[in-house]
Amino acid sequence: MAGHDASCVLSRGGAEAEAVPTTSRRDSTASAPWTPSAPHARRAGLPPSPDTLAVDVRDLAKRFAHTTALESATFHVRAGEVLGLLGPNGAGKTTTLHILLGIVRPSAGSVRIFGRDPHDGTKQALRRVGFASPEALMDWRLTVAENLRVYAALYGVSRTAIERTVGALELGELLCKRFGDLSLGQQTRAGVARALLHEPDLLVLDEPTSSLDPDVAEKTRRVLQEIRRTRGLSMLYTSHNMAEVELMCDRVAFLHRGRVVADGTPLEVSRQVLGTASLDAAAMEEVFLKLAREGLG
Amino acid sequence: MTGHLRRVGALTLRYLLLVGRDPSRVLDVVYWPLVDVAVWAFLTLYVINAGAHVPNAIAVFVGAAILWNVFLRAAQDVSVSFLDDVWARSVVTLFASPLTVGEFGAATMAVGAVKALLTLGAMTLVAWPLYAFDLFSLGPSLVPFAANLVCFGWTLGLVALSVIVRFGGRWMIVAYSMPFLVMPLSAVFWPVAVLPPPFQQIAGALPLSHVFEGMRAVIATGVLPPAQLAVATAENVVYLALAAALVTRNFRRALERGSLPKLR
Repeated sequence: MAGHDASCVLSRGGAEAEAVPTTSRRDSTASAPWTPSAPHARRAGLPPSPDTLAVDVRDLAKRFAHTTALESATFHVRAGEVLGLLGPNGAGKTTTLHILLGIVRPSAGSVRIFGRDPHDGTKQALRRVGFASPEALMDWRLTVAENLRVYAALYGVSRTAIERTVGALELGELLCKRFGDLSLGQQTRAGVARALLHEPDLLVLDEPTSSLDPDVAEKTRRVLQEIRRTRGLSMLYTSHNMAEVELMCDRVAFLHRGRVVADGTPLEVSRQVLGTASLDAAAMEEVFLKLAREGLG
Repeated sequence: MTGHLRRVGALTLRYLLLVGRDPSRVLDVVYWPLVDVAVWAFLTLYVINAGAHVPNAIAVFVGAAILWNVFLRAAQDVSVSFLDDVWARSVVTLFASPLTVGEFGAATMAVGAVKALLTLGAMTLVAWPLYAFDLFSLGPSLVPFAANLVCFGWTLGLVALSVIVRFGGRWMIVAYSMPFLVMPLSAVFWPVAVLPPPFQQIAGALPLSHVFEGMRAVIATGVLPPAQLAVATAENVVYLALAAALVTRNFRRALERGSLPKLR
């Protein structure tokens, strides 16, 4: 406890619960392997049922007072799949995510998360969802440890879950710092940790690495890939970094003026848009520019 | 049920952690209420020394100052807790979780109640040695008085919260000022009888006036007037239900307008 603020204690459990730097006892989990807790461990390695849809969006529309954010968007994310939701600024990506997360109500159409409507009033669907975005912050006056304690209590997860997440994302040295004192990148890492605390089945990530330096961004991607590998986690991912999209996503859905104008594997979309048979980050970039400027005609 | 309580508890924990992290919250809970007690006690001593005859002056004024602050804390903390989330830009983070509007409201009300009790304790501790005023001399009636004050505080807090949900954090003044809008007509420091007749009608519709009239009756006679308490309780039940409906409606409309993620 010496040298540590009382707020660094992750729970009332005393010394055992105290946050420690990743260089000491947390080292065993610090630098990667995501160790799922028992129920998820049983699921780990099992291929997700192809029939299960993590996300099912149909004919989704959202009209605001003076603008139409979504015209009629239809896409899905299969269980265990990573879908990149792409599009230029104003295409409707964030609105789509907000509707999925139950914080904006659609004007028309339907959304389902593992078969449940996030707008049914019970918010049951959101128990299986983790969300991270540079725009979704935690309280700036509380330390990272205090914030994580609050969110762990909100989701009903144990101290062990906090320690595992902190270890996996190498957040040990940040626990005692006030959230408001962190750099943007550190805030993003803490936000990803918060999103993973309750071991969600679906992770919704809105430009998760946009404020990270290349090294930390790469580490974060590695952790996400590791979690996905061990747990068969589904992800809905928005990013403007096409190299990242090409690396992380099984499929991409491209939003343009509130409609999905292209949907498929990165290679399929590249073929469809550019007519080329090869795929790399540069090709994805070209796909993005072409779709953003012209749609699909 | 366990899940509901757990989420309410989690959010309550968060707001109470803030008290330790933000010195202004300590001022709200302890310092300003103590200043209030001191001001009213000195004023009372001055009035007594000047020869004015106010029966049980210290008890009436200091007691009123203490109970007013109980109400004030409950009222302000419901809406200020939400403002905390608006300012911290954590509204999206919270409502993208399984937390429901009802659970959120319950947590802010719990925080208001806890802080009201802390304020009550601090003021009582100071008033007793300094002014020989023991709030507990009100006897068992203190419990329904405090409960009614906290309840009406919640009501005004929820109304302020719904205004902020509708118009955003720039309307924060509502969170701080709403209790003071009703103060002149609430008979906190003077009897309802001194108000002009039309205002007496309005005072009758405010649970606060019945509580403070009741407090003065207990101090004067030692007997709790059940009618005052019954009216205050009935009004509180109706107003709290209306305030909860207003919050629910404004949250629903915020979801429809898509304004929740944009609250600043």
